Amino acid sequence: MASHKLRILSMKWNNVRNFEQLPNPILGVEKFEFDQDGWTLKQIQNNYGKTSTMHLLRSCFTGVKMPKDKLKGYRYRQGRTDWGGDPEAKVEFSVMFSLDEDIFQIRTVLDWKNKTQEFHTYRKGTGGERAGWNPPPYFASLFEKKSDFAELLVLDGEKARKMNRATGGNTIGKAVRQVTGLSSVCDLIDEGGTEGRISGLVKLLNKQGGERKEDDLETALKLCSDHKENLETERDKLGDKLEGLMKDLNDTKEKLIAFDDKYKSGDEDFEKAVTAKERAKSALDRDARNVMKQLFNPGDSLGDNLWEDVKDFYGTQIRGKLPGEATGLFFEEIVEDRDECICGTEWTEKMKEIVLKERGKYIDHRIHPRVKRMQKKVVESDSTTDIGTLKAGLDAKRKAYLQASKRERELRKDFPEEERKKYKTLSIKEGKLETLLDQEKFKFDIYNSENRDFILEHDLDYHVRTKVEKHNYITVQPYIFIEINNISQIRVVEENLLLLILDTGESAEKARGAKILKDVLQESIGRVLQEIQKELEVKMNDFASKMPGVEFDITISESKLIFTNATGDVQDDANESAELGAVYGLVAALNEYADISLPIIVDTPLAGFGKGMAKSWKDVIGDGFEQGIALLNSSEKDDLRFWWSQEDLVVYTFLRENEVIRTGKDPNGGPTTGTMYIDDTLETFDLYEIDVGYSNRDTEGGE
Amino acid sequence: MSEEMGRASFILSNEMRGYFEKIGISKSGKGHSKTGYFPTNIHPFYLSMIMGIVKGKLAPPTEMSKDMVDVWVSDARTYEEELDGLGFYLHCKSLGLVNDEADNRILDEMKGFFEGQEKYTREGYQLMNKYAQGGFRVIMERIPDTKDLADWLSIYLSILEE
Repeated sequence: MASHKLRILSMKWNNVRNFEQLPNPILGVEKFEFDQDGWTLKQIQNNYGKTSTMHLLRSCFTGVKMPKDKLKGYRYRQGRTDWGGDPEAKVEFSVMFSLDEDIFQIRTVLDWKNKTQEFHTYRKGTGGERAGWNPPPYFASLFEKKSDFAELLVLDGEKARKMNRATGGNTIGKAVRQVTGLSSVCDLIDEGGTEGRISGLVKLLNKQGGERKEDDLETALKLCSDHKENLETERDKLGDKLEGLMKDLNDTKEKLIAFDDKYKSGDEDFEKAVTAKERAKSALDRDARNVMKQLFNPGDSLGDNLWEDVKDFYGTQIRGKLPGEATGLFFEEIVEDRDECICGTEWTEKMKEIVLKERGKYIDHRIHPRVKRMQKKVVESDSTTDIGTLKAGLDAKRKAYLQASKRERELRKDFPEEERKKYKTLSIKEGKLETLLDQEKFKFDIYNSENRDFILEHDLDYHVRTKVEKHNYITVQPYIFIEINNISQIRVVEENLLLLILDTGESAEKARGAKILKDVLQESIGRVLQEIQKELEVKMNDFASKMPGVEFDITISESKLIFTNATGDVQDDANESAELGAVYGLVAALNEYADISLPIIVDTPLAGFGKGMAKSWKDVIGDGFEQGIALLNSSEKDDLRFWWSQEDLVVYTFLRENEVIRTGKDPNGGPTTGTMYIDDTLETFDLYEIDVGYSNRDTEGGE
Repeated sequence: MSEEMGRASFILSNEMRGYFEKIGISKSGKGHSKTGYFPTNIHPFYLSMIMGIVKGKLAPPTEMSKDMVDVWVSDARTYEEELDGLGFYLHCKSLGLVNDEADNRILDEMKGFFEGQEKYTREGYQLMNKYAQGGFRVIMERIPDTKDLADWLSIYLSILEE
């Protein structure tokens, strides 16, 4: 049982997106409080502010401020009707927590005009609210600056999908370290793009001197450190450039969104067309990537005839005849080095001839396991698809994208010409910026990434390795290491040079001690993490297997989840529901592992799943957490009817004063008017938008 | 200039690189594709090699100024045993050993094809590089101008299926 308990008690909004002031002082509930030992379901229309709430929550959890250029996006948006909010006002959001017996509130204020964000903390019994992010120490140790961890608890589909994508970062690895409390020990060793504290100590000892070897290593070390500094400078320059590009891109996107919003709010068809195009594009991108992956299976790319020939070759020619292994010189050695044969008989020329002839039946021990594996894999391999099927799937996605683009273009033609021109210019700019950003991000990762997969994939360790044993198989040659562009790899060279130089003396002893300590820690932490990972994997698979569609064995790597299908093939692009199911499984497993009972907050949780998945989702997540808060749209509310209609859950509906409950519109069918408030009755929750027909509604989320 | 004998690595020749970079390789390039890029150099190399194998085309690799990996990386890593198997089969086939009962010769060839746990001998790389260059010739001829990845893949699959 967990030793600590964290709960979210309530939330408040002031001039956030479409929320004027919630809870509303005049209408609806006076206090917006959550069930502390169960689930609270909040029904909120799309585009009201669900996603913004999630971002604000993460910020309050971690004390990490929002990017300055995003602040404006949270401001109050006065619609065509005056709802009573102040579009010029600062944005305010607060959340009240309890941690064991401690009750505290974190309030954040976004001054979007001046691009600043502040935190204020209230702690019960400490004399009112104080400026700054100052929650109880245990909360701070869990969450401060730990966005990866907070993203697991304040989870939306976008974040969940991000966790499944390979990146230069170690998203999952970091989250596992944080939830298990190992992150502070990991600070001692070199991880996560930074030098560990022990490496710092070795450097300090080197500065203090000691008896040193007099050779070119000193010069090499100096050149190596200079090279590392140059790389760091280049990386930082790129980082600044990236920041500038991101800002430019965000501004452009914001303008495009504002443009679309202007038309979307008045034109439902256009809104649908834009969404359909985005989805079709994303499906096509995924499929193109998947086709390439699939083609790497020669059984799929070569077609049955050719691959069957290959399989036959290994099946009939070699199978059962794979020879034993022997070192390359085994037969020469016994003939040349021994006075007599291993059976004790004195050598004759004939015997020598027979033995040397025998060597042809053996293969070198270095390639034996490889050949054996190859033979087994090929003979047991299967085609999982064929070229025709791959092409048909890809072409269907291409066609869908073309049609969706055409539809959107046609509707856009109705806009005034000036507006169209402006939109086109912005679109072109957005495309160029995205390409440029991708390129620069890649360059940045070349310098900065420590992700092992990324380093191997791009051969960034190529210039590090040598065959020289006395140099610990690491290069000491400046003309070679000057070619290294990855900072983590140049550090390997630098550290090795330090050790080679510090050959004798007291400082050398200390440095060696520190190095041993680091190596032991690195290995122990590696093992502990591996154990944790295995346990998490078992639990995650157990949870995720309850989700229909998750017919994969899922393993955890530092940067992503890896899906292996029933035939043993790795499938990086699993279907969306499997990806989400796996992440929910991981989160539930992590929660079970932690020494604290944590809440989970989910945004449009069923987006990406079919309706049939609602029951499984409830089994995995609904029953996996002691406190849960779900931000739902009405369609999801309907999908989860079996749950809230049977169990005693706390339910809320966000709606406007004049809104007709059954339609989610004003009585005349127009956009909703009147001030927003929160209703806590089961009846409103049940009937909200019931006349719209839930199956026709968008379940893909959004604000 | 031919790279035929020189490299103990895969070869994505300058002309191949130039062609595929127009679509986009990884995020480093000058690609025009709107539906994603080739994630690494190994992707276009492999797709060219498969085209060469299916169409039975080999050609001497042309000049490569930059380095290229010498092991199957990225998505190819998942199928490295199968790719070993394919490469060695083609090697034996080129020597007329596929239907040969002479087991010892096949074993001898293994020693001359594989190098350690994941690399190949120069002879091994040579064969795969020749298929890649041969396949690239087919690609150049049949898909000269397409710059969008999804469009390119669709045509590529059609040619492969013929």
